[in-house]
Amino acid sequence: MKALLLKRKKAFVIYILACFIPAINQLLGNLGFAVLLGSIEKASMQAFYMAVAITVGIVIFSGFGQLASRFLRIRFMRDTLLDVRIQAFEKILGYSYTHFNKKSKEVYISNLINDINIFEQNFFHRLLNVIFRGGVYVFSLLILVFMDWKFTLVLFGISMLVFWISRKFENKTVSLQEEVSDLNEDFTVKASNTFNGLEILKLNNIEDKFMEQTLGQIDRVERKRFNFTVFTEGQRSLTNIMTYAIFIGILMYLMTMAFNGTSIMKITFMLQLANGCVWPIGQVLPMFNELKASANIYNKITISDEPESEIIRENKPFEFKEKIEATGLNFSYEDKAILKDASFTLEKGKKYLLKGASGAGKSTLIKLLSKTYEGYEGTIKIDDISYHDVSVDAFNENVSFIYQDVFLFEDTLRNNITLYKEISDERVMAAIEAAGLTDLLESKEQGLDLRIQENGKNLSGGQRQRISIARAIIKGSEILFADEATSSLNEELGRAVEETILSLESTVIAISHRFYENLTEKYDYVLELKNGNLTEYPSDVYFREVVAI
Amino acid sequence: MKKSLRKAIPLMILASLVAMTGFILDGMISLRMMDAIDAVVKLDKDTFKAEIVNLFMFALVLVPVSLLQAVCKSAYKKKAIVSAKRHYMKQIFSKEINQFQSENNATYISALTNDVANIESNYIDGMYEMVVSVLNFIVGICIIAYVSPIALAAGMVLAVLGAVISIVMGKPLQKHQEQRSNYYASYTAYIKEFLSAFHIIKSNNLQQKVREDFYNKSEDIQNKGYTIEKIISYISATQTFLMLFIMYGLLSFSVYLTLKGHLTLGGVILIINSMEKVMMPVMQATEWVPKILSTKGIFSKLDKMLENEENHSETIDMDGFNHSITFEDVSFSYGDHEVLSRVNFKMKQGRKYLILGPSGGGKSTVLKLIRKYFNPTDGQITLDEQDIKNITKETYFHHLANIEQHVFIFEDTIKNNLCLYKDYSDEEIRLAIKRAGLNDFIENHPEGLNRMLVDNGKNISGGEKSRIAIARGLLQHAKIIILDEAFASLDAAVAREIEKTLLALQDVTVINVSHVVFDETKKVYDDVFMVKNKSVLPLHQPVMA
Repeated sequence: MKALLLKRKKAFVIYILACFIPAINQLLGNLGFAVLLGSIEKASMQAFYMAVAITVGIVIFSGFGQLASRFLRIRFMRDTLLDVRIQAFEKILGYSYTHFNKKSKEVYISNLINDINIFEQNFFHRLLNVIFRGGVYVFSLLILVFMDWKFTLVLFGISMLVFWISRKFENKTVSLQEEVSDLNEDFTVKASNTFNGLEILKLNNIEDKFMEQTLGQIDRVERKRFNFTVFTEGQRSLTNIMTYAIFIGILMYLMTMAFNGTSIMKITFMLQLANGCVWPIGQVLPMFNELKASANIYNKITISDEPESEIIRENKPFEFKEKIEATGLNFSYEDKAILKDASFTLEKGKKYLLKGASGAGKSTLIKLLSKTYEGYEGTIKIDDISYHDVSVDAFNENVSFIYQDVFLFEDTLRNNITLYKEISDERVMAAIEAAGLTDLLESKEQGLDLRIQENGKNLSGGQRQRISIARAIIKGSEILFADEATSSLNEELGRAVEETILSLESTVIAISHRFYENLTEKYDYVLELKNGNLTEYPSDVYFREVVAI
Repeated sequence: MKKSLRKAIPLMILASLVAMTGFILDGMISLRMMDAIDAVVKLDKDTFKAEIVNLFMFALVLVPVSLLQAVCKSAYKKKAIVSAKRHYMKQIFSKEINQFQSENNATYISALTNDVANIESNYIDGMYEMVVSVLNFIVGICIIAYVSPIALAAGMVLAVLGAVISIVMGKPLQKHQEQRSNYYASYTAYIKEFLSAFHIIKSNNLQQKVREDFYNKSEDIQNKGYTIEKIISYISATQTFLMLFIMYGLLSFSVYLTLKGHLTLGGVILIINSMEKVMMPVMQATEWVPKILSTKGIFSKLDKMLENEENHSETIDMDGFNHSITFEDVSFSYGDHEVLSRVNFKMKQGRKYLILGPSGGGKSTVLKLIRKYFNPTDGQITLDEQDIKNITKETYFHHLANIEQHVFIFEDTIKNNLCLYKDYSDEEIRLAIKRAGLNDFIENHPEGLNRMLVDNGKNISGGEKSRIAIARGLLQHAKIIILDEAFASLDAAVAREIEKTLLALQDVTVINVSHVVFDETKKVYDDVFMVKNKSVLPLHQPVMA
């Protein structure tokens, strides 16, 4: 946090100074108020006009002060917030894929969107207020010391008492809030379970019982929250009454001074300063805690938690002449055994289709074979070199992927297919044809220079998918991993693309729930995953047994 | 959705009444304070002391009133939120299964948590704050009018002037705020895209390009934010200036009235205090009204989510199954995508059927049609000559037992898991357990039927779960048992055991839907259908031939 703020030292110092301006404004306002009331005592119109003139000056000064204060602050805020965004992004970008996958995407979305928004809304606002209120407190006490040091000492004592009470309340509030949030989380998990089982509940005619249960849970959570609201609201009311009582006490003391001849102006000024000492300190504490919370958010979203030991530095080149051989492979994902002691061999140039129920681990197996996940037991060797030793860069140079997710740049169609590499027009066109993108190209005048809009808004799902296929084809990789490559295409186009994939020289490892008659059978082998057991069938055996009964 | 909140109106009225009492007390305190200050000016010590005692008394009365208000407000909020959530849950539970499944479960959870929280903090709180603000405003006006009507008039003129100027100044902001929200949308979409494509980026070494794109998008947002902040600076400075101008203008005017002998010092302080009570509600209203209006979109989104689109009225109760289920020229399409085309086949009561086919071939659509998740696009499915479209779901599901790949186990005793919270005689239960092959499983455990199953049945095996599902079906005297890839996660030996149990059941029609079955078990079914290429065709049976 410190490093972030001190990156622009001068701007930061100016920022801090600018935060004091509102405090000065408030003190001047107090003075203006006192001067105006004081003119009643003097009972002369001249004194009144004088007081009005002073007040007008203060009002104008405050307006400009406010403007200056903001202008001195906002540029620093902009630059710092931009840094926060970039640092948070860099942190994620720097992760290895394995580490990236340890958390769900929702966590990162929430880091880059919600957390940054919270930081943006809270951090500077709280910082300003801590400085402002702290400033009012210190200045007021200082001025009062010169006017009446005994009174100031008592006030200081009261303010500390108020501070202590606020803290007590704060602790209780936090613990109540935690209870509510735990109950809420629990409810969300239960509701989510019920939603998952709603189909079964309905089929068994027992949804009513579960609805009653869920409604009961809603009641329980809300009852707890009721207690919480009563406590916080009650606390607020009591605090207000306390303010009021202290105010009357101060008033009583100052009025006795009035009976002894002190001027109304001085009394009013002291009364306002005294008010400024008692309360800010109690308000500063929660603000300060929120400031710390924002700083923690910053640390959470920008400091990498990836241990150095996980970053593996491999160096062997990628060579694939004969086969990939896996022996005694064990892998668990989220406590579920995906592979149990699996051994198999993939021959160069052959086409493999992975089959298995959803959740059986097909995608995970692809991730193991594509060097995406490294934390498995057993060995995978490519032409006798351990997967662990092959350099990631070299590996990635020689394999390609077709996923359901396609990442598109706001750039030309050409750059989206070549991914910014120098490739001849003929090869680009050949890839476009093989991927079934010819129609798209012919329907647009710009041809290869067609601008893809942000995230491919101007393309259909099928077209996006075909760009990903064209990328894979143009790369001409040794191994192609395809996870549901044709699922978003219509039957006819899906067939055509599947045919292209099967005609490539690459070794293909594919997942597909689509079945294209007389085409899917052309895969050389089917690998079936069931309960962590992997069985390899020659595809003619698998499809004859299972489908062509 | 909004209607469900009406239940909280009585509590809202109660809370407002208590709040009103508080405001009136507050007003009386202000009047006492005025008297106390005037006593000081007149150097009247006795009156001053008496008023101070009065002021402390009022403080004591305020304590219970304030606490009561806190309770009433909380009760109102609780009632409103509970009504909203209960309404939402009830509607979700009454949705048709296929329509329920057309949305991701996360969407429902998000609606129940985020959207309801949004409604709470903007609408439920907003409504309360608005009502209370209006009351506070009225009390403030009454007090000032009581002390000095002319000061009230002056204050109102200044306040209206201030409000008009702030509204006018807010205009240029709107355009920029809209632009910024577009930038945000684009930023969010980009991040989602980036995260889904993390591997693609890493494996193609595209970090630099992505970094630049992200930088540009973030910079757009922050720069737009800067522009907005700049405009806000002018607005905020003008507003500060106006606020101070109004406050001190009114103060000066009151002081002037005092000097002219129309008002006392106490009166001046009272006016300033009460003016805050008049101004605060106005400012709060400008803050809350847009928030309250902003919930309109959420309400309509929730209402849309809770709608049931197709509502064919079901009129016939199913009281048995005697002959057959027949698909007559049944076609089905998801949108433009046809899955089944003019399918005809028949399944007779008491027989055992196997439905096969490659995944994606239409098996699960056949299954969903049998389960009445949706109706055929064309043709009809009849059960004993009745179109099942017209049969009520409750009675239909009563005769249907389902065994899934993942059997749903409740965190409760085995008995409740078998009976699904309905009453059956011990004899019935014993028989069902025996027929489902659960005898050993239950007798070998000391707690028998009262054994607790936890965490979706983590303490029992997959085979045992499937048998529990079979026993459930037997207990409810289901006429039809449907297996949906029920053996996909079982060992072959266990699967075969369970299959044997099922095929031996008398009078029960068994429909087993599966994508993988091998030659030997096929022969024991009465008929095997193949779902492929939009059609359902019987396979020639070597045994029956």
